[in-house]
Amino acid sequence: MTPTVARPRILIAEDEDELRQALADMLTTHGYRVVGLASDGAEAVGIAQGTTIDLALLDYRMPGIDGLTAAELIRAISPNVQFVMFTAYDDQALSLDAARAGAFAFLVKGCPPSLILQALDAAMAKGYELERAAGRQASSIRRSDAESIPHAS
Amino acid sequence: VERPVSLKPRNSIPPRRTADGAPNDAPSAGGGIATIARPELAALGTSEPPPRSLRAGHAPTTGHRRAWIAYLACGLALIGVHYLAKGSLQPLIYVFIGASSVVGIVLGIRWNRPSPALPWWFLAGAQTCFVVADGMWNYFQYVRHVELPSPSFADALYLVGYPLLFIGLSLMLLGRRGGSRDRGSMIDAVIVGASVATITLMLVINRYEATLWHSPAAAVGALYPLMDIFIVALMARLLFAPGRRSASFGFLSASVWCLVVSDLGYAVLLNNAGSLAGSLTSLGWLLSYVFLATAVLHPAMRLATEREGHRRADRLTTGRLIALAAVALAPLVTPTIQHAVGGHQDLSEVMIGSAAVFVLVLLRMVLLLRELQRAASTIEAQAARFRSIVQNSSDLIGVLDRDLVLTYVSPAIEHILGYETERLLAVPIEQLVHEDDRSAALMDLRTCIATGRSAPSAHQYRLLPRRGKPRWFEVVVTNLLDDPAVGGLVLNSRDITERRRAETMTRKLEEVRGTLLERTMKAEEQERTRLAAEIHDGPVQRLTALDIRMENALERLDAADPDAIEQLRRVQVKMRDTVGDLRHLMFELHPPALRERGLEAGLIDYVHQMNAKSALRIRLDYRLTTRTSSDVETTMYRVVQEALANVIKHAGATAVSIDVYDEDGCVVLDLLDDGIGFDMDGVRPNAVTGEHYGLIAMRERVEMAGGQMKVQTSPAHGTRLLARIPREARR
Repeated sequence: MTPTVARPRILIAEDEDELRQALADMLTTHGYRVVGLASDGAEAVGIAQGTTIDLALLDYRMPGIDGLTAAELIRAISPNVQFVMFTAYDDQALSLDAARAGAFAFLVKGCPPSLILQALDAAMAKGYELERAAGRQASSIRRSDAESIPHAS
Repeated sequence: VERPVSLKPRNSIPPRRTADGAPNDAPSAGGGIATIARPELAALGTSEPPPRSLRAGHAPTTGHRRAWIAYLACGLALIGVHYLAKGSLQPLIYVFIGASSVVGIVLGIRWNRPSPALPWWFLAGAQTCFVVADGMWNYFQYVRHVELPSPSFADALYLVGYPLLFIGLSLMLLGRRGGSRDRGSMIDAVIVGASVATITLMLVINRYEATLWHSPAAAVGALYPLMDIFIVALMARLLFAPGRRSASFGFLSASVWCLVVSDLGYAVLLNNAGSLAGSLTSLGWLLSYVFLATAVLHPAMRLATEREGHRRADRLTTGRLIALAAVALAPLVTPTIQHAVGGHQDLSEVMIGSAAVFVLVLLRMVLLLRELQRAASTIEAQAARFRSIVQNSSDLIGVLDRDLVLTYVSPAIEHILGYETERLLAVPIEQLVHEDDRSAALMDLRTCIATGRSAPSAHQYRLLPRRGKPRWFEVVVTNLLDDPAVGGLVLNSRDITERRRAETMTRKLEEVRGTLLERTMKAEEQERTRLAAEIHDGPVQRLTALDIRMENALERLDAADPDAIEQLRRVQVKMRDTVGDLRHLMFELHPPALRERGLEAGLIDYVHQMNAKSALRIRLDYRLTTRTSSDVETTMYRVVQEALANVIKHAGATAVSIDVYDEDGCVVLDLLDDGIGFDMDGVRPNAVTGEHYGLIAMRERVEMAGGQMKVQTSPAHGTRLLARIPREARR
């Protein structure tokens, strides 16, 4: 797998059907090849085993295996996969956990959909080269992103 | 030197220190002031503190304190010399001894300073009269060789001396008797007087009978024994009265008895024997003089008029009884002896005297009987009172002997346990105790007997009523086995069945309450978690999906109608705001950090969120180093949440500080805002309408966790909330 793949192969893991489909539609529209749609963590890991993927967009809270654990399992299968967490929990500790696990970005639901695309594009573009520094980079991006996320108040 | 046995040994004379502090020659001296006081008391034959007069600085010096010994020795020696002397030396020595006694009395009064001194001055006066009369009599007899006429001036002096002696002794009696009226002793003294009077009448006055009303000499001669009868009665009264029996008092009574016996003996012997009379009776008189002066010189004379409070006045001691019996029998024995020696006898005096003594003895018996009756009725009344108290007590009182068998049980048992009192006597106590408590009860009781401790000990046992369920009793056991009045273990038992029932009920209710509260809290937390999940899975996800769908749609619409696009963008923003609100709600309902990493992480997260969300500056100082139970953590977290919500809604504060720390095994939350505060008095009424529902809910949460919550506030002074929860929450 190289970063020059024309259409990045992406896995979406999201337990809510409507949201999963919406994300798939949006990403397909924006040039991604959605190679897998999983409704829970175990399914996502199963897809990653049988399919080559470049990116994974993972919900955190899912039945069975949660998104973060799934990410670690997927990383174990294909170390070069970049993943972005997409969750409703705006929790500092969780975002730190995600950074430690090597997430490229930590997106909170309610952010503009364009931010999802930006994060995924950046992850894809920088993916391979930044692989080793992924944790630190993802963390810094996440932080800058987080600041741009309009908080409901 | 001959010394009377009744006197104290020489070494009991109080050793004294001289003014410069040098110890005197007494072997026991050597201590300080404390040891000075003790032998002094020993000399007085009492353990009571010495009277003021002894402690005062004007006590006699060592020399004066021993003057009585010197005087007694010299006096007795001179008496001896008197009998050895021949011719005119004998009356001279006689008068000298008499004069020395007067000097001795005066010096004794001056040195010993008795208070009151008046009785002693009367004695001194009496003695002076006797001695002057002696002198006159001897002067005429041996110098002028003239027989004094009878009656003479000397007789007048003698007869003045007796009333003075009587008054002196009476004053002494008044002092010794104090305020106590003592009819028993009075009658005893009168018995003695009557008996002596009868004997005197028989032996002496009878002799003058023929001439009594015609010859002045006979009349005067009869006056002496008459005086003596009064002195004897008074002396008996003095001896029967309470008061200190000091050495001085002993000498005084010896002196009086010598005088009286000599007088009576003189009167008797003068008529019968003649020549021997003079020398024997003069011995008695001389001894009387020496003893009187010795009594006054003795330091203990100051106690002679002192009352002895604790001694019962009219106690009919064995000694007194024997003396009284002897005295009462004397008038009967005397004529028998007279008859035996073949003397004259006239039974009329004996009959009159005996009748008088009999009546007096009867009177004494009546008094004693009345006193006994009074004492008996007092004791009876007291016993009845105690019996009534015991019998009417709602407590059950029982007495056990050494074998733990009931020897007494109060009638209260009839309505408490339903037994008849009589049927329980001689019943072993174990039969009344519930079998589960029996061994414990027996052990407690045996321990109580074995240790012999009389201090009461309390135990709880079930006792078996005649009918129905066993009842709980609190039994207080007091060991009175060694008390001869009781001679057993006293059990004081109180029915505490209801109390125990109430206690058990309260405990159960408390447990139920605790369980309910815990369940309520758990249920609440579960419900919150469920709600948070529902919000997450439902509205948040769907709104996010809608946002993305709308984004997709908008991209396709692209610039066709800018106004429509702008409106849709605004809808999108509103949707995101709503998602944000819902996320916050989720967070409030189910703080993930609290759940997973505890109170510290939860509070840091929460404060971070609130700082971002509101205009408040919130400072958190979390100083707990270890985690506490999740119940306490949840409670604290919820209180902070509720309190901050209140601050934001009502306080108008700009800054809040939150301190969490450990204190005495409690987790303490101290939350302080700089807001407008509120009127605490307004909190409770409004609580019903919900205005301060938050405050009440917080308090309930804290109390549920076994803690306390305090709110300190007043308008315009901010609010401080202090919550304190034991680390190990509840039970």
